[in-house]
Amino acid sequence: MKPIKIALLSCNHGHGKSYYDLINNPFYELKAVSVEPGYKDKIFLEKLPGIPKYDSDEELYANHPDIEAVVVASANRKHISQMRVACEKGLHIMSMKVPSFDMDEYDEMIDITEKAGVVCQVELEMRESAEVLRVKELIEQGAVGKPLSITALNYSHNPVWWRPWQCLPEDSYGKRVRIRTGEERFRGGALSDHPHIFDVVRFVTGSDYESVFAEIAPNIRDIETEDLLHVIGKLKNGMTYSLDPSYANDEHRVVRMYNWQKYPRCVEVTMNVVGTEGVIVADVYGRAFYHNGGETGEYSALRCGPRGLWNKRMDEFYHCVRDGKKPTVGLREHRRTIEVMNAAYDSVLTGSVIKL
Amino acid sequence: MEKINTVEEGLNKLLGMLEIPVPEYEFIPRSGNELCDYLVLDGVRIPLLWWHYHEKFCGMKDFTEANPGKNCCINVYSFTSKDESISQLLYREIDIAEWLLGSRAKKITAFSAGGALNAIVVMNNATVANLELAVTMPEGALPQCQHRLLTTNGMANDRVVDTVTVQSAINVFARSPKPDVYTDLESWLYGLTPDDTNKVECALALVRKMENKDDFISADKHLRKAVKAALKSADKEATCTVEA
Repeated sequence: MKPIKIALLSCNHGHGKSYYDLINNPFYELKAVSVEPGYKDKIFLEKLPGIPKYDSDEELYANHPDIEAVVVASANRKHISQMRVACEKGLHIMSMKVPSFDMDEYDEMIDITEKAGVVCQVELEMRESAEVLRVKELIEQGAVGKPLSITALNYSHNPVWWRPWQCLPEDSYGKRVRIRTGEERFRGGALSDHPHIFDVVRFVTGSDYESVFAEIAPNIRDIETEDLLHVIGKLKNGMTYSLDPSYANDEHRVVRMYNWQKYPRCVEVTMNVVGTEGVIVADVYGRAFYHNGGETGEYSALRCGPRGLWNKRMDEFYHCVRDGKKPTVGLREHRRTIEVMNAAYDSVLTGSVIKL
Repeated sequence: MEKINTVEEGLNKLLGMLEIPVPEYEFIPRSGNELCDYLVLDGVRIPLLWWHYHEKFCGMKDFTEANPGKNCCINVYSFTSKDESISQLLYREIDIAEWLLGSRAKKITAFSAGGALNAIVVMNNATVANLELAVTMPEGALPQCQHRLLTTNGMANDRVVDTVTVQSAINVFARSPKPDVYTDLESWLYGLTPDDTNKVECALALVRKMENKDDFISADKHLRKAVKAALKSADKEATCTVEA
């Protein structure tokens, strides 16, 4: 087994920290990280002892010419420029969950990675969830009869004060697009941050989106992007669906990082499946424990999970790079999900059902 | 242990306990395609919106009334058994959403497949209800639901932390691997189901005139239009406005 020499870029994406465990992964040699300006004190760099940290990608590349792969862990707007450089250098890429909302830019990503002959895998960790796999199997086994409807909810506490780019339309959606006429809000909020449930519906049903209708509710926060949003429609196999990708767990007033995971949970993912013979009610991200022993005595929820295992998507990435396998979700496979998310924004804009 | 077996028995008992004369009344349970139960009182047929007396919804209503923040949306899943119709479930869930959000439905977009219906309801005050409904559970199954109200100052939820299914007060692990469950809400109405207990409480409030019958009658008229709009929307797969 030959470890892959890898670097993390920018590290200010919400998922960036989940790649810090590469430091313990025998399949990788984490060579260095670059840090987005302004984020040095906000992204837990102390969890990477002994790993060189640079203020720019250029500096990182200059000091580590032997790097073979990068994790593009930056704000959405920056993905394209970092991918261009990575492709020029022939580096394999682990992409964040939203490569780009600009479909021309997205197609350029497909083009340059394929021409460079590098692996570009998109992180969609919900596909690795044992609970999601169980729901998929139950549907396939006909546990609730013929499936009629699927619903999925992905709530999170973002945007948090220590990651301000997430509520800036340009950084999140890539540009400033008014969410609809007369609204003082812009694309780039909760919808832009939650592709997982759009992907998971395709994954567990084996179907694709036929129509989409979306509506925004009044915000719970004073931000200029949407934070509450509902999406419904039909799949090509006749099932209805309902998705709720909202920033519904409001932590924006929390000022202490150490105690920000409050009730109910910082992140929630639930799924329900309705069939002709019954329903499945599933909490697919439910592993949390609760305590009130923190500094302020507040009731806090902390996610827990199996120990001793590392990030599974990086296991797949390793075999793609070393053994020539194809990622389950690459840029081409993920393109449809991004299209549907854009259609949801178009539905909010027009107030009508969008046929896909 | 004295057990109460019917809504009428329960209402008569409560009136007796409160030393209120029992008026002439008739309780008409929902049947067939009817959308709700009725209480006939003083010759007036009053729709019984008994879920307004569900303890969790009452708690959530109290929360909204005391909350310094503004309501934004309510997210609902509600699954019941095959002996209920989508129209009946829509009627109840639209009413709960309107009651908690403090506004009536203005327009509805819905999609349906068999016994499942998904709808987004926009209220007159711009708040939104997201309804995920189904009537495909086996008969006798405990209906499952969640109502999560999101506001600018916190949230309220009828499912407590770490639960996505309805919890029971008493769980007996004895005769089968799955527990027998019991939820008894009111000792004076011991023996009644939670729903029937709420029906008695609602009827009692109407008899005592603590609840204005005209409010229920007006809500019923509107709710029928809202149900009609939702079904029409699901049929056309386009947004429909609720008749004023």
